[in-house]
Amino acid sequence: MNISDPEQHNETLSAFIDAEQSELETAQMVSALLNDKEFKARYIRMQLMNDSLHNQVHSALLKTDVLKSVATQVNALPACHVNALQGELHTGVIEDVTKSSLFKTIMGHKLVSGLSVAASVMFATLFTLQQFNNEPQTAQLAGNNKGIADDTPSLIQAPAQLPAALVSGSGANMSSSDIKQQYQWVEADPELARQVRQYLSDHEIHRAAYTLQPQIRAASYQVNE
Amino acid sequence: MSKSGTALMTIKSMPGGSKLTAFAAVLLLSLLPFVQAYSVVTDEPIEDLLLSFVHNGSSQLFDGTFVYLYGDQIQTIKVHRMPNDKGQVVESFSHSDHQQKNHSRVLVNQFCSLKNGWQFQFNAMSSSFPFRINNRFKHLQKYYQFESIAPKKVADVETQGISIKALDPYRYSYKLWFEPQTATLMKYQLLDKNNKIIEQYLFTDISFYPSTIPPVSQKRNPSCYKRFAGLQTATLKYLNLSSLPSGYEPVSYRKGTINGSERMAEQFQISDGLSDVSVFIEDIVKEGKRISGVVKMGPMTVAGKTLGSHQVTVIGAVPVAGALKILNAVKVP
Repeated sequence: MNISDPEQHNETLSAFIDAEQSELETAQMVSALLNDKEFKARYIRMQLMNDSLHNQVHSALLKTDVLKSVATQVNALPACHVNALQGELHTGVIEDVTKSSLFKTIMGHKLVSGLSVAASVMFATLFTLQQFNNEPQTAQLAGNNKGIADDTPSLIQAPAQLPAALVSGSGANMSSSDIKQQYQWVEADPELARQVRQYLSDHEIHRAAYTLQPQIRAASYQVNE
Repeated sequence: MSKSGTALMTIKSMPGGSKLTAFAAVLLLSLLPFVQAYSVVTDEPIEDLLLSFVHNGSSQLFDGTFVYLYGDQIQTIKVHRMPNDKGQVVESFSHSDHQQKNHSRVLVNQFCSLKNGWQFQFNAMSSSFPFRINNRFKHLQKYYQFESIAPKKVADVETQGISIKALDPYRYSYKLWFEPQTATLMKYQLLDKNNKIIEQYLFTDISFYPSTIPPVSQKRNPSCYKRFAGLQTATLKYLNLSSLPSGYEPVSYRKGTINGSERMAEQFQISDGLSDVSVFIEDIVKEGKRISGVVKMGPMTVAGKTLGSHQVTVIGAVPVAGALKILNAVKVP
């Protein structure tokens, strides 16, 4: 599909998102999404905007140095998430961290800017984003995980790197800084990512209903194996 | 004479300013029965539509294309539903992205009954989401608010919309659009508390074919006993039921190897009737990397920790809060 006329195609995209287009337009749209990265990127941006999720973020981003912006905001995020985790461990109550406006902002930055955490899988630990502004620590943690390239940070920490309190499951005596140091916003460790997919597969296969929804999800994950 | 008619007669004898106020009050009063009636009738069609979806979905024949989205992932998948020689409906998926495998399956519609009265559809057919609405609508209304939403065209088909809004942070919300005659799910959205869409699929084109196959009557699954063998014992052993998020209950249990690995695990399915979560409990038999912390993968949340000599992992399309609460409801002997 020719995307030389952004205005026209914004309209077409909008119709597509609402699934109100003709069959011919649909076929063209699907073809364009599969074959044209720029068009796909435009579609994703519009989808986000259509969902009323990232309108403000998107407009702000156009005027902002994304990396700098993330780095300046990231310090506030771990505390929020760490507190949420501790609250859960101690009291059984936790705020959904994805509700955090900062989290949404970071996600907006990542999606719109192409700061891809992984090429095809959206892995994200929800507790810290320190690798953006703490390269030495990231490198150290990555180095602790065998089999991971030095320039590939680890998604999930090996047990030895976790605070004892968390390993024991009690959460007692665990400070915010403990968790802050342990959890990283990082890419998937291949071995652990494989484990995650195995769990996903078994979850979808054995869940109480074998529905279209998990069928699609399972298929979606297979491509990343 | 009706109450509103009597009131109108009274208004005529009032001064001008009071007349207007009183008239407005009477108007509201007269509309109230209609508003109440509408509220009542919107509940039943929602349940009827969902029941129809559960019961009749497997017999619908169609060709279509749908788009599946989460995050920045987009997939276009063709779905083809036709009967085979045995009169069964076979559903096939083919991906436009040729890196992905194609799938097909025979649609069946069987259920197991739990002791708590829930009817579970195992190997349920088609887009049988939401899957266990069939006899738990009232139960689900404790945790979700069901509302009709504006009809819209999806793939050039008129649809009826339903919003299923989570009432606490332990589950996601849904928006569903059905083709009302066939109860085919045309568009599906999974939403978080802020109405952020975290997963969705929608048909972009679809052609329905007349089905000569009668709606599949729900049959009691002969493997029910096997499905639930050990559930009660294992539940008492591993779960603090009072610590689970409200409305969630263990619904199935198995012990076996994890797909694609040689690791043995005990797997629970825990569900509130719409949302479902798996809990894996494994003995740690050798040192190695294990999942500790919370990971998001598209709409899925994975939460894991080491508990004594066990690895506990929770996974499901639930918010982090829900996954962590379930994780922390696990105990080991």
